[in-house]
Amino acid sequence: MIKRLFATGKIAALLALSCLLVQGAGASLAQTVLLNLGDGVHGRAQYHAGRSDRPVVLFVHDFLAAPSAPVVDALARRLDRDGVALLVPTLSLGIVARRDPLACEAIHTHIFEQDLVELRQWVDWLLGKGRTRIVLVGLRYGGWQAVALAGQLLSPAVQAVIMISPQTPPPSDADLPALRSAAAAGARDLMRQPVWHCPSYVGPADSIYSYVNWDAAKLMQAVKRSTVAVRAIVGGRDKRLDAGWRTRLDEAGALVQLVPDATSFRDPRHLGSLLELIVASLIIEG
Amino acid sequence: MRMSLSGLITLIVVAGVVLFAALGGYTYFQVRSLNVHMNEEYAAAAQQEIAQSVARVLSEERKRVQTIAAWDEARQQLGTSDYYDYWRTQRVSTLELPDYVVGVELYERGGNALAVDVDIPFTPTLRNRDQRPILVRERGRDYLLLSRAIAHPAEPDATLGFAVLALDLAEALVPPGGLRYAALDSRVTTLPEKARVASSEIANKVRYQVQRNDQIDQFQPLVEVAFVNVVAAMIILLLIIYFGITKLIGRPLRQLSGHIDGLRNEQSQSGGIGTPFVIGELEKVRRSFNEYQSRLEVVHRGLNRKNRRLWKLAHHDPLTGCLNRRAFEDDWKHILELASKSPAGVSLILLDCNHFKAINDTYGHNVGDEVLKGIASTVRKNLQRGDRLYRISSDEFAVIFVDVVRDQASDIAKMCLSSIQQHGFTHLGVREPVRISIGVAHSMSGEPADLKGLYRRANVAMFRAKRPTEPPLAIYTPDMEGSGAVALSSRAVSAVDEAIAHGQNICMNYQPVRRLSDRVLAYHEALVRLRVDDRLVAPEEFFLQVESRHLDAEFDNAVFAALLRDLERGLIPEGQGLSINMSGASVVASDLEERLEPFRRYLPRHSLLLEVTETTLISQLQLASEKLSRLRGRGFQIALDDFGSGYSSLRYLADMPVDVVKFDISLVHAMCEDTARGRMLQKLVGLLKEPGYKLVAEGVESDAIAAVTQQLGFDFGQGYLLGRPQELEPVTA
Repeated sequence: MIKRLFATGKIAALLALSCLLVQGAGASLAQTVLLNLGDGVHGRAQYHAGRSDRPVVLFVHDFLAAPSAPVVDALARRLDRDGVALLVPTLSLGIVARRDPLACEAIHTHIFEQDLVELRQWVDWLLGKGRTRIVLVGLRYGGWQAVALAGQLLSPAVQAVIMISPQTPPPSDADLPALRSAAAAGARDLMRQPVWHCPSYVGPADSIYSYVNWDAAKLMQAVKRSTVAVRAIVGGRDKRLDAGWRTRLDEAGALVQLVPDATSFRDPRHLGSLLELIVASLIIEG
Repeated sequence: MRMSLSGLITLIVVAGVVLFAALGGYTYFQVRSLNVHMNEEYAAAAQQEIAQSVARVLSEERKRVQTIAAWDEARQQLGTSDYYDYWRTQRVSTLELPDYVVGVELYERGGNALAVDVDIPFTPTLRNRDQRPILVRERGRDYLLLSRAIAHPAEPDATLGFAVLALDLAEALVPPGGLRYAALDSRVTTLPEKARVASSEIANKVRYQVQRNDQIDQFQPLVEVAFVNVVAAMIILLLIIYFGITKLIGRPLRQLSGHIDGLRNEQSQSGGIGTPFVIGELEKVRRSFNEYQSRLEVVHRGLNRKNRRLWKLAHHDPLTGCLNRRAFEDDWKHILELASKSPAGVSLILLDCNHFKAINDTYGHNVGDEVLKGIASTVRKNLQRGDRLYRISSDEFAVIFVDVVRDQASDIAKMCLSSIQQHGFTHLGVREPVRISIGVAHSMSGEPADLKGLYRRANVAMFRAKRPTEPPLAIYTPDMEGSGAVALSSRAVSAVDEAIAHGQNICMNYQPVRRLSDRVLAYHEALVRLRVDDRLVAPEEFFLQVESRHLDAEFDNAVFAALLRDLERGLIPEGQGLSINMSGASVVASDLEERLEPFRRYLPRHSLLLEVTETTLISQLQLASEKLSRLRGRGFQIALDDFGSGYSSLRYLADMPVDVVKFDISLVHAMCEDTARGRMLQKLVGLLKEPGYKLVAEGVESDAIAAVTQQLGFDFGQGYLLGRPQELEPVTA
């Protein structure tokens, strides 16, 4: 019943609203953090200290994106304004202190697992900051990476994963065995393949393979394997996330929360609803 | 200085051409000056354009190289350059670099290029610590190199590498729209190979040509052509204006002017200018002028009518309708002027109504006027068309005949005389015949000298005709000049004037009036004579002058003065009376009593009788009666002279303050006849005796008359039998 109520978002909204009314809100100064990720690569992140009595949000942006993306930026600002502690790293993708989104046609030498390693380094950084309760929030493919990370983490600090618009990976026509072989053989020639939402992804075989290997089935398995609660906030009108996909998520154990009229939350009108749900989750998890 | 309208228009047109030519010349030189100035401005603009273009390129490309240096993928390549060629060829192209960018290269921190083959020697740039752009000439081309260090995000003082941007200067300096003022030379600089130039000197090293300004180059010929066209157009326009003004304004104005001149010379057509004018204002002037002329003509005609009327009034006698004295004098002058050019025979007839004053006095002015009108109409009937009849004084008429023979004038005069004699005036109440005297004179030669004396000669003839013994029509003959009467008639004028003015020429005669019973001299009747050239002039001679000039009262004064002198001298013996004749004018004069006052001191020694004619009393009976009554009260006696010669009646006599009645000689002689008239007159004597009048019989020239008159009851007698008029000598003691 409670799960159902959460699914409709009504209780979550009430909780979030009451929390805001009782405790008030306050924005903290953002702090740019450069983290040496090794191999001469530094990662960049924005850290909002927020309230220490609540979980800190580790926000994972979309694939090849950056926190400067509108939805990420808006959510970060709103969460920060609500006093939520927040760390928004920019996955380096092998680039020193990457700042901007990386085009699909750019040279991609990074691999999926490196992204997870990098995220773990940021979790560690948070732990180093004394944050013992972490909620991973991932936008679109970032949600899958957050789930994948949660599945690999042994730290109890990570208490929940919230996937926002967890997009369905399109069916890939890549020759996975060939890619696997090429990657295993250490082929360094650049290839051009569709990877997730990129129709023309450029990179060596290991990079391509690392991502296309994470298909829907693997993602569902990650959800199932997750030791922490997984929530999926889905726009009711998001055509990329059809009812079947939501059902599969639900069956995998994720709590799917619908925002009825929303699509992909790029519309600011639905950003409030999204925020309420996130805050409610933080309260519940906290 | 006056100028004709055509001259003025020509002057304006010529002045316009000259002014426009001068203006055109000035404009031409101004355009040339402007052309030079614009070329200078263009050169300066070209120089500025090159400088701005260099500055623009530096500014834009600094940003561009900065963008490249900050690009994540540049740092990616510095991290691992395995795919640098791909990146340089594929990824850099996504930056949409302009065509003049010939290359983008990344260098390691140590200065080594990531690329294996670098065509352009970028390396020197990296030694430029302040990373200023430099101009490099390599392989015959000029390159602008800009570099930017790529900093390490976590170590601000550390440099990951460098980004270098190479531009083709010649292409970079040309903006998308092209250069407007400058045209870059094919070799944009003159730098030697391998030369390096700092960014601050780039603008000075750029070679360019100032673009030919087609607009400026085309401007002057266009201006010249335009000027020629405008000059031609202006000349045509001025000619059109000239002919237009000449035709539309000049001709109407000349027409107006000519018409006005015609009006001045009385040659213009009546009704004004007929042809309408094209120009509205001139047409309005024409209409106004025509309307004004029409009104002027109406006024002119009115004035002419009034002038003719005034001339007629001024030259016609309103009573008789004849021409008047003024017309006579004007015509006479005109005749004299004509005669000086073409002499012609001229005849002059003068007609005068005898005793017209008596008619006037007796029957009144209205009757007198009708008599004059009758005379005028009668004379006019005998004149031919064109003959001019003048009334030149109250009862004097004149007719002038030009270019006629003397007999014709005489015949007309005779016809006039006959007609007047036959004309009856009885319907006016005038019982006596109206007599006229006509004098005719003729100038045969018509010479001006002869004509000047024509009026005098006709007057002489008329005076001859007035003489009782002469026929009433006299045609002038030179022998009339020799007769005493004629001579006196002219000299009497001056004699009368001298008598009135100075009392000269007066010679008093006294005729005794005796008592018939014993022939004792009762009184003397004073009879005035004028002495001219030691010759006495009869009263009928000078009284014509006195009466015609209405000098009766003045002449009486002169006589009064002479009588007073005689009384003073004692010419009248004491105890004898003196009878003084007075004109009607004196009787009614307001100062009569004052004038007679000096006589009163002689009343104790002399009885003084004032003789007045009955016509005098009749004309102003009331006033005369009052004055005479007052004189009677002052001691004078009043005698009615010439009773029976006039037109009075016994009714008047009864109302008059008269003491003595003097019977006219014609009555006295008539009553001496044994006729019915004589017996009636005898009865009249008795009738007058009854109220107590003293009666005096004039014309007692014989004893028989004296006896009859005495028998009839006359108290006194006067006549040659009893004594002729004579001068008196002072009475000696």
